[in-house]
Amino acid sequence: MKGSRSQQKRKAAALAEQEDSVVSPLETAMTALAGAGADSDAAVHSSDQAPDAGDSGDSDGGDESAEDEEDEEEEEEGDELNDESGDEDDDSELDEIDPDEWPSSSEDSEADSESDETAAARDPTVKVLRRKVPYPEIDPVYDADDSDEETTNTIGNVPKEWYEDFPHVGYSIDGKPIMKGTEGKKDQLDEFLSLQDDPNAWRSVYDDVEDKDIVLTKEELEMVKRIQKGEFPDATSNPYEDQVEWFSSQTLATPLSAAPEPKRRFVPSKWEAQRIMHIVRAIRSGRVVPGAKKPKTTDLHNQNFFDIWGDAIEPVDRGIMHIAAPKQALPHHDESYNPPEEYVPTEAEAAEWKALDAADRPKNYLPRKHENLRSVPGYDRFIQERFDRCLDLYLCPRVIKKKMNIDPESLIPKLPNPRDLLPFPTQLAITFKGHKGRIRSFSIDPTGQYMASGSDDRTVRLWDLLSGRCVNVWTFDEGVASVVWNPSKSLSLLAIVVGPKVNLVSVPGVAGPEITAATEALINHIATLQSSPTTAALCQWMRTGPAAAPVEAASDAEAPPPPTRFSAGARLVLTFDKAVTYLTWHRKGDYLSTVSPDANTRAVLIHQLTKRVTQNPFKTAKGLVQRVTFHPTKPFFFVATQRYVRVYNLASQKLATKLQPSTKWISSLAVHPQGDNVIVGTYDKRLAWFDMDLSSKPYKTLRYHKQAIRNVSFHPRYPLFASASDDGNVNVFHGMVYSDLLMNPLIVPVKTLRAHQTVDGLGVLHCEFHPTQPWIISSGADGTLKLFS
Amino acid sequence: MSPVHDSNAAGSAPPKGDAQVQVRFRTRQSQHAVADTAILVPAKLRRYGLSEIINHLLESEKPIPFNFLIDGKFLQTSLNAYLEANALSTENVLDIEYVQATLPPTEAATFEHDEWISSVEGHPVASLVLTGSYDSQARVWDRSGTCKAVLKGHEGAVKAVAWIPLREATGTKHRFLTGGQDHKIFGWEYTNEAAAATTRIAYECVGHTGSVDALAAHRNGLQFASASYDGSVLIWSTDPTDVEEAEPRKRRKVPGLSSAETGGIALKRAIKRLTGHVGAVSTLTYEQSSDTSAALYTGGWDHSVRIWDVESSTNTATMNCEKVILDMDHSALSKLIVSGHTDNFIRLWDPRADDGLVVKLKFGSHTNWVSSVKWSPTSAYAFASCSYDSTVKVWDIRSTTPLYTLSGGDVAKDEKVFAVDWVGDYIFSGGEDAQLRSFSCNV
Repeated sequence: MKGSRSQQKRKAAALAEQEDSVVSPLETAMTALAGAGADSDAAVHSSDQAPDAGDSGDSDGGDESAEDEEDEEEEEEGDELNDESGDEDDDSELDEIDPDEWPSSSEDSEADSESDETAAARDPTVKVLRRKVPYPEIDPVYDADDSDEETTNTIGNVPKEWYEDFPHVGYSIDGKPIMKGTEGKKDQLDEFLSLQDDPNAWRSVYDDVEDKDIVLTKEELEMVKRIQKGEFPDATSNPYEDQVEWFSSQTLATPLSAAPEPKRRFVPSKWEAQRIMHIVRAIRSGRVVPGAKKPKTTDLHNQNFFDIWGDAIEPVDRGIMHIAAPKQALPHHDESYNPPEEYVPTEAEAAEWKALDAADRPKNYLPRKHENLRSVPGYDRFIQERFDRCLDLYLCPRVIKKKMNIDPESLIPKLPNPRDLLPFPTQLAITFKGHKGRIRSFSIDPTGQYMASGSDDRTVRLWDLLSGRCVNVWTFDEGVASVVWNPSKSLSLLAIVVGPKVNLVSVPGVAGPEITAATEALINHIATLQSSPTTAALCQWMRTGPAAAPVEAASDAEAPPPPTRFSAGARLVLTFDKAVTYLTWHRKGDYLSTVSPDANTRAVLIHQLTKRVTQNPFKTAKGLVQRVTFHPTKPFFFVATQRYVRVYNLASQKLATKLQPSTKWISSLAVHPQGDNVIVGTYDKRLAWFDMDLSSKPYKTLRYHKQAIRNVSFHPRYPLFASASDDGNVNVFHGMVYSDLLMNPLIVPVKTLRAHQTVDGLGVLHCEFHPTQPWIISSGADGTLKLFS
Repeated sequence: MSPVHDSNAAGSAPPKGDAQVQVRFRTRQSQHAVADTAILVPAKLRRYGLSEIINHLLESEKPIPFNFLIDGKFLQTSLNAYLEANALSTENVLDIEYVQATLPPTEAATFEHDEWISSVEGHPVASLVLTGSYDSQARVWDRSGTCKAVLKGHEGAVKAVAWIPLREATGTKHRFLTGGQDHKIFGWEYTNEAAAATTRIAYECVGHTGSVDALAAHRNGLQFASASYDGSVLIWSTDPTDVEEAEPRKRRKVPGLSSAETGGIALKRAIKRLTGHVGAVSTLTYEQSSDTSAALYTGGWDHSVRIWDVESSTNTATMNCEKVILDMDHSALSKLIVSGHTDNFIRLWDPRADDGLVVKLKFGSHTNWVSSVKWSPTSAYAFASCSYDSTVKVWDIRSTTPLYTLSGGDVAKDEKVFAVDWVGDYIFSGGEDAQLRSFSCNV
């Protein structure tokens, strides 16, 4: 009874195993119940076990089992010999499947096997649903159970090769040698014979543990074949089982979970909305173009390959706004665990470091020396350091600075090379020595052969330009403010400004006798004229000097040296109320203008020699007059006050323009020989170039001097101009004015001439170009004149 | 061990200093000629070493210094450096010409002057030197340093002086010219007799309206030319009889003039006027030939050098050089023109070139304006120059650097040298230091 009972149980278990997952465990239990009558215990038990078995179940199991049965029939003859071993295998399989539940469940289900089989035969659906081959019946004979089967190997776990040379294979538990079996390892002849005789030789394997041939069963051969094919060794296992939809769209009457639907099922997703908004923003900003095709990267040239041999590390694109954190400074030598001796602080230094406030310490660590890396203690400041670093990164906002990558060279205007602009004065040639005071003014005679210079030492010297020789000296009562030659080549007349007096001196010898005579005649002619009352009110004209007396008589009386030839001839003196600071001639030599800034409304006076007339063109004073100049070709008159340069039209007697150099104090003024350009030097170191056709504002402002500019000058022939400054330098510029009105003047600084010494803060006081050669002469506070060629 | 190593090193790559070069010496001075065979000399040799070799070959008891020329240029470095500079191999046979080196000029005498000297001209035959000074006087010196005569007449600095070559050697009677800043040119007659030297103004040339800066007499002594600051070049006859007798004018009494002049000075008019210069004419020189059709070369402040055909008064060639020309001289031997400029350079011109004047060479060593240049009367290669940098330099056109530099004044005082002349074995210079210096120099 016990045997049938256990058989029933096993059947039920087998059935439970065979049940496919399609069949719900409950149904299985129901069928089992139906078949077995009333055995509620077993039914309940089996239903409990069902899910476990069903997990590994397969719907196709039924078909496979059918195939297996056919196979069995085909190879029946081979099976007969190895029935025992086949049973063994089956049992072990069962053991593997349910090693624990075997004793408990087998008995209950065993009873139903008969009825179940009949039911299965009756109902084909059940057969279809069967998943596995029913294991062969185990014959419950004594030999059938191999659980206690003895192995023939009794020598224990001893390596075989130890006994290769011995007739025995080992020792029994009694210590007796166990001899090698006779049928054990065969020699080749035996093997051949057995191959010829034994029909099972082809599937027998020698087991050297048990020292006998083992004939493989049909199942074992199948398994070997499957392994050789790379399939699962177990023919019944299916890696592609259908999924069981425990939770499906169908509402079950008894759902597996009765939990209420969560709220998120009914509320629109916040994260989804954020994600969508992100895309929307990207589309709006144009980062994403919906519908745009991705550029195909099949082209090899456009693909991004990583140049593994290249040195440069490819910049990783981390987005537009990504700013990499600044790199931390590399550790210094003194941060080494074993720094060189010079980095290790002495005790005094360490004490000083400790005494300092933590914030004031130049380094936040104290270098320490350790003998070896092993003795370096744990780094106690690690957390603090990381915190500081994070604090730094957090508190210092990083901003992308848009750097303009401009080559500074490209900003400098392209100027021609000064070498191409030769000639211009480049080097000191002649130094004129003799004056003992500042040389305020000098003038080169119209022929370019002589030069007169007036100094604070109350002398005027006449120089031979080419040899640098002083040919005459005239002494006056006061320092000489200004010396100007009459620009007319038919006269040899020098205007010397001393205090409130203007001396117009005929200089015989400089020009030929005819010109000297003409000059003397002019002076004598003026002397004969009478001043009009208006003229007399403005200044006194007076004839002095060697009078009309013949030159020879005069020179007889005076003994040379200096040579009598250069002694001043006839003289005409114009006396003003206030000191005259500046004098300028009209280019024809008939008019001259004087400036006495202190004279208020009479600051600027214009005199005409041939008519002995003095005029006051301005009824009101417009400011402290610095310089005045006649226009070289037109009837214009330039008046430079402290701030502005006013240009008057003398013909219409109106203000033509007002130039605004936007400086504080104008020092000097020069008009280009063509008349359309004016340069203005200022005491605030600037030189302003005005293009009169262009604007009343400077066309260019040049700042090349370190000190106030004292004088500016144009070359009458070459495209050169120069500025003289208190820093002792004379700067020479190339100033080309084009006849094409659309072309702006070309201004190139070409040379800085340094020769004068600065005395009492005064450097070069006057500079003037040679009338015909590209030479410049400068006079300085050091009492010398210098000619640069 | 080390000797072996040394010999190996020497055998594989001989040091540069031990390189040898084949040279062939030749000379035009037949008294110093050596065999015309190539000999091997060390490449490190310089002039002195080569000179020793020549002296050795000549077996002369007293060593004679030689200068060496390769391709017409003085060897101023070692042979090695020359080969490297010219990218020549040491295997070439160098053709070296040698000439007897001249001894450096020695300062012979210094004659005290009262004022700055503007011009100096030595008499080519007689041992007389004529100087013009800024004290408006000209002086005649003999080479012993005695002032033979002080010539007063100018009212401005005397800028130019020139001897008039006499056709027949009279020995004691000389004629010369002076031109000054007073626009005047005086023709003088000077008789150097044992008892007393007498000078008289033969004539006064009128016509210039500017300072007379240069005078030059034709080799044949028949005409002379003057250049003036007014830009004109005038040609005059030297004939003292070809004058307009001046009416007794009111003239300033000039002390030192003989009584004959007090009544009036004969006036001379120019026979030709050469116009073309745009600015002042600062210098002029005749072609050094006795031919009456000798060309006239002028240079001026308009940066041009012009060649004039005097007979037809035409300007045959003009060449510009961008710089003011201060002085020029033409060599009778080399037929070249040398000129001094305000850019501190000396330029060498070839007036015979087909395309007019061509600057052949530029010599730069002076540090200031080159005020005067003069060819050596005996050498086709040597010339002297003086400059505002207080030096007088002696040049050889085969060498780009000056042969000798002589002191013409105190450099510290910036004393300019205005004039230099080379007569026979003497170089005369005068300048701001108011001293007529003479150097004996036989280049």
